Amino acid sequence: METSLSRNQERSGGINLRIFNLLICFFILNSVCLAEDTEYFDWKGLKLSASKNYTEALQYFDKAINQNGNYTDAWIHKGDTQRAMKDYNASLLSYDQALKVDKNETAAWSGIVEAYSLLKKYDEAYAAAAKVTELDPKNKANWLKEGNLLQLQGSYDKAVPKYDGALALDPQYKDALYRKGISLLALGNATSAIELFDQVVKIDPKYKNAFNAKGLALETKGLDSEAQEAYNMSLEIDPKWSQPMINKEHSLLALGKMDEAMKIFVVI
Amino acid sequence: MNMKIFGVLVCLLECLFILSIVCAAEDSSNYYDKLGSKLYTTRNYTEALDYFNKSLAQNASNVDALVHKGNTWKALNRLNESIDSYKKSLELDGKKTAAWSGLADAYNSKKDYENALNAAEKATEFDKKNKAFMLREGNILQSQGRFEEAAAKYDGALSIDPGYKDALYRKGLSSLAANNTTQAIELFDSILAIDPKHKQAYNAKGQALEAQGKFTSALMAYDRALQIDPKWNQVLINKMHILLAQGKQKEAMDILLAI
Repeated sequence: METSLSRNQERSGGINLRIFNLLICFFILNSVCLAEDTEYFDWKGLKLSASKNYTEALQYFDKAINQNGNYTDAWIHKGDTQRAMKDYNASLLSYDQALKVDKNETAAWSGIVEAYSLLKKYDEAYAAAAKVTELDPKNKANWLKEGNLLQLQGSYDKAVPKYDGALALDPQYKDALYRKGISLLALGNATSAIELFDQVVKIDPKYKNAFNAKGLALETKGLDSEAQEAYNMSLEIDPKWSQPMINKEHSLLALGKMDEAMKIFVVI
Repeated sequence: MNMKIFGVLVCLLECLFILSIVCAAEDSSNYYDKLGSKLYTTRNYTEALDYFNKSLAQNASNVDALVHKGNTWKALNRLNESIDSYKKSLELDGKKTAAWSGLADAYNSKKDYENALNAAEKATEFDKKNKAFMLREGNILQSQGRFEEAAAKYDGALSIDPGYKDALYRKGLSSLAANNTTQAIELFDSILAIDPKHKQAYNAKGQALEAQGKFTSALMAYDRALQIDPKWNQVLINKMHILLAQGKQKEAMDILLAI
């Protein structure tokens, strides 16, 4: 009698344990599914955003965020989408939410850089760009970005070490060489600027901006014929680019070739 | 006798019938042309073309419809079709000024300046008092770099209207090309006396002053142009060159990066 009672108790204990185990399994499965749902919503939002269906994309990012407010990817993607919709202030708030979860999230900082740049708030954009470089110092593009933002604020001297930082990582980085050349030209060092522009076109003979900027540097040295040649090189690459065409017109004016200058002037 | 009268009457009726058909066709052709022209003015070019075609289906000799069809093709940048249409209209009426005018513009858009000039001259030949036609002749000549010949055309336009700003401006460019910067500045100033918002005149005056080496005055002229149109790239670049010439490289680079 006693043994059958203890057997029954054992049996009911075993059933309870099984139910408990099942509940745990169900809970784990549910959590996994929920996490998968969050990822799915974010992925779906990204797909919609890529196809420029921004309004629907935002709905999916919000679903992901509602499930898991700490899911930084969804916050960042929401910010990117709001930026694409030109709602820059809202995008800044989304990036900020991502940074509350993880203050070292580079993608969020990068998004802030872009949003502030588009708002033409270069000071704030620069501060965020500096943070990006701090988090990812081996990325040459980050250094370039910092330099460019300093140039946009007119800080040509401060931009130089940033370009040097990029060039330390890649000495052939033509965009950094070009921008450093612009800084040197702004600082009155046309000779060094020309050397840099020459380096750029050696690396990439199709770099039209370098030929154009070289022309400007030559012009400051009073070398108008050489400047004209540089503008011609730029126009060979892009015959419809009005900037070197106007620049060429000025070098012709300086050379007293009025007739030729006006031939350009009337077709611009 | 009665039979004879009856025959004449029948003939008259037949003539009347044919005449009424012709008139009806002409009427509907003109009507469709008018509808097409209305659509053209509202830039509904595709539908406008349909109506011009309907008009021409009724009366293939409707010169106006052919000209209007040419204008519509031109607006759609289908220059070859536009030229064909103008030419067809000129086969029917060689003195159709609007057709010569449209033809000149179409060739000009194709940068076929020789044919454009021929057509422009024809338009002026049939409408000698049209200042705009003379201006166009001059402009085509300037596009070919024939600044001196162009100046004579602008003089023609100015003899009709001495206050014709566009002709004064273009004549100023011809003077500049001939290195007569003083005359050019006088012409640009005369435009600005008529129209102080003529940004092109300020810009061109800046060029003339720059050629004279008067950089400060040139800069002022460019700044006046920029006051009227702050986003005009050409003037911004012109200003950048003055700043470079004045040794203000930093300010010059600020412009380079902003454009």
